[in-house]
Amino acid sequence: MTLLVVVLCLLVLLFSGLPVAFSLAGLGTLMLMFKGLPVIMVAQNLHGALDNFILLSVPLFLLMSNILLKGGVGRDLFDAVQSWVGHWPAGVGIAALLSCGIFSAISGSSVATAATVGTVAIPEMTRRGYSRSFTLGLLAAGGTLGILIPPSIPLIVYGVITEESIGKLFLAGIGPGLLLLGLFSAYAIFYSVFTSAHTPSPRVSWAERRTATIRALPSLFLGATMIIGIYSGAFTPTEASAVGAVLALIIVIYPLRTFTWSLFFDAVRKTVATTVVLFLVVIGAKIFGKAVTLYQVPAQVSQLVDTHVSSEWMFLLIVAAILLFIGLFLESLSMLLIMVPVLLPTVLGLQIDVIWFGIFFVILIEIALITPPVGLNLFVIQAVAKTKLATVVRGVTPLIFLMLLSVLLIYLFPAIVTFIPSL
Amino acid sequence: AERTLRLSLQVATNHPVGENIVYFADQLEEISDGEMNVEIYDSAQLYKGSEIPQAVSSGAIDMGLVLIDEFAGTIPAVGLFSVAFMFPSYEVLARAADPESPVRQQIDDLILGTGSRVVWWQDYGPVQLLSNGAPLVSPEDMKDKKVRVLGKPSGDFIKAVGGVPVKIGGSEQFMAYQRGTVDIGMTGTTAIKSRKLHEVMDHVTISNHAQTEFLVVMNDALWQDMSEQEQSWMTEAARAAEMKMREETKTKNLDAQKFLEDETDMTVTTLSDAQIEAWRAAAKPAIDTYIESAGEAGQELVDSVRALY
Amino acid sequence: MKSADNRNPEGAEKSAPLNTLWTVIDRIGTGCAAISDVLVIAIALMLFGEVVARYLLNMPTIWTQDVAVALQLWFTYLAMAYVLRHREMIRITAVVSLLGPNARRCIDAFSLLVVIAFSLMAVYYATDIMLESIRLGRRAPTMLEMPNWISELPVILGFALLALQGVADLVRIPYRPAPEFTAADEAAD
Ligand code: NA
Ligand code: NA
Repeated sequence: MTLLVVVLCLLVLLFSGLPVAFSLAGLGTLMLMFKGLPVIMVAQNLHGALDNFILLSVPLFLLMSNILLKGGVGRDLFDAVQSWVGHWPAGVGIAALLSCGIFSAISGSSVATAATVGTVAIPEMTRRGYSRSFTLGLLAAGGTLGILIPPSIPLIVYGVITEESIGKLFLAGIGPGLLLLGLFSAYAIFYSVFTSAHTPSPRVSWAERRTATIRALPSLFLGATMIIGIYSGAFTPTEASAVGAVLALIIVIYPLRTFTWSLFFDAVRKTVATTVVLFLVVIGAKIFGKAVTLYQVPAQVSQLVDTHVSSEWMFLLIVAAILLFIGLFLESLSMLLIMVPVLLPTVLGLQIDVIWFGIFFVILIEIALITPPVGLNLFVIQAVAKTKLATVVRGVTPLIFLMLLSVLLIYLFPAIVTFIPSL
Repeated sequence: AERTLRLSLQVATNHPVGENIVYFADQLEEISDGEMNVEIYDSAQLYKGSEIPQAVSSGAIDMGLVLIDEFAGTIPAVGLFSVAFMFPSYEVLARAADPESPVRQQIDDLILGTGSRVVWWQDYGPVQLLSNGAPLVSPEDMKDKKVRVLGKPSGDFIKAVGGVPVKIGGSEQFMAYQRGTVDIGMTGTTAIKSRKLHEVMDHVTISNHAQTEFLVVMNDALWQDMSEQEQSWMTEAARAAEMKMREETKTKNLDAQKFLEDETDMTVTTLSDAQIEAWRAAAKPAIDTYIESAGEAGQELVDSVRALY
Repeated sequence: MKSADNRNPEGAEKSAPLNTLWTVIDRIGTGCAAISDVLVIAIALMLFGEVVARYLLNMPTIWTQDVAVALQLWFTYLAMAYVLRHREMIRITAVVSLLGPNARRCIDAFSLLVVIAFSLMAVYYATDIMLESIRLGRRAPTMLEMPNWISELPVILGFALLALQGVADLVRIPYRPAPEFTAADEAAD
């Protein structure tokens, strides 16, 4: 009963257009007041939620990718990849997907990945005669890899909530990231074989390939440094983010020579603004989460699951169904922040690997990013391509099924997730 | 129930420290015949350990579990149990931490000054050193090595023996050892087992150089508000929980040590009295640093502990 | 940056009473955001320096982590008012974007009132917490032993600024074109 009232209030506040952060924080505060619990708890969380070294990697990874973005790295990467694979039958599509994959390794966000690669790849694919909806769907879905292939802001936040190692979570995302990249590419090739309205780009000369690759090399090097640095233990994820930000700055200053002070300050200001927006949601969710805990909601959920759900697969199926449903409406980080604390006791109780569960969760968030009515990547691609939402949705639908397939695959073969961190 | 107390802890209820709190809650309910009960919020659902001192003294939560060292920034004297080689044996530790001991009472009083009343102490056992390739027999083995530390007192110890202190959180520990972010590890005997650190470090040196003490603290205003009857129920249940923990901890730590020796590839190295003496001498500057920052109270506490040798 | 001021089809901005005062509040918010910019750059450089110090010099510092975390609190809370003014916070607009101009104004006023009320509550309790930290001399139990109030103060300043900005925006609602809610308002991740 209480649970129902709380959920209802939250929905009303969220849909009233009140910022998500204040919907959560405000409702949490009211819940404490209603039960006569000390409200000072709210103020403690305003400090406590950010008093955290691991969260520092959020602004720094954002800074890294914003500097590179303003430095025009998206274009360079796409050109380089295209010079190698563009002349294949599904070449331009594969080039777009590979660019998404590579850009994911230097960006922690799906929206940034979709926007950066989309801006350069959509016009090119359209020019080559690919259908509008196929192109937009491929990029909307390809962009979601940004939060699965490390670094990843949702994985950082998940690690903070569950006290799991961020390094391990990052490594765990690589396998499923490559799996999705493979599935998407297979789809692109399959599609190309059955439709022939488009033309591959001409094969380019070795000299052109060399020039394009050299131009993209610094960013590739940076992506590799991140993953190898974390993997080898040279630095913690937070330090990796700082190293990445400074290296990004060096790269745009020297080899790329695209640095200007105004672009730099734009990148910094964008980083500050996005961080504040994200952190406010983190804080709001934390306050709401504590109020919900004091109302014993997670315990009730656990109990409900205990009595009605007997096996791991049933639990995961229910969780997937719930996440797919709320993912239609809710923004990605809020999904994570609201649901993980509620589900965690049951996950631990059923002895599900918490790292594996994090990846499972993030793939479902990726799906939420491309399901209407609220799907951030849909909006981004729609804005970049200046087209109707329906066109993007039509193109992305087959890819949603591929993502569901990947969820099934990591359930059947958990090693896809656990193998790389165990090396 | 007449009175419900909310208690926050940062570990799960199946963790030894959490189990002990559940035991307390059961005892209290039984002794008071259901007049008092405890609602436990485990696994840091409400607060991290570092937030407990402020949360309890402000009354945001009634009771909380906290590592004694969390108070050490505010009251340097309470860092005593983390000062390296302060306690030569388990017996001395037990005497110092006994509810009647002057050491314990002085620390409880210092903490009471912040508005939190110490209800009982939980011994969680000694802290050890981990390494790869070779055991850490003498303090010279620490020279210029990067060592994981937990807080200020352990950092002072590592500096004193010529190592380089690096702060690594509990959850990043496994990776930091596996990937060599630090050369030398530091953690409790039972944690080596529970966090599977024996998979990534092949030597443990039983240095017993510091003690992990958890405290259960309570908002003092709330305590004052309780009837004498309620206070005495609390005291009785707390005493029972404390004694149970102390007995079990010694066994659990020795069992964990035996497990590492017998069931894992880890080599367990114990130190002779002469070797310990060398460590103690090398760590001496850390004791001086402690006394310097803790002032008169620190000197008094060190003297009281030494009187128990 | 999206600007809330000039994306309106339904009429131009009129000057609100006490306009100078509200403009000054806007400027304070922008100034604080500039401080935040500098702090973020400082954090990146400090942590980069820490990696260099540890690997090249084998000399990790004892203060970097603690100072970086304190600066994280400062830069986040100082830039909050700026983010509010630029309407960058994540909100669900699927329903409210369908409403007419006056209803949208009401929706905006409701949001600002909630923000102001929450901010005042936050300032009140956060001040309580900081004063107690100063009275007891609370410090972090790390090598640096930084006093707690240093990282508690930005909460107070940040929410005080946010409340001011909220009032400034609230007062100007009737004199401004009705806010537009677009899908882009939900974009950040
Ligand atoms: Na990424
Ligand atoms: Na969605």
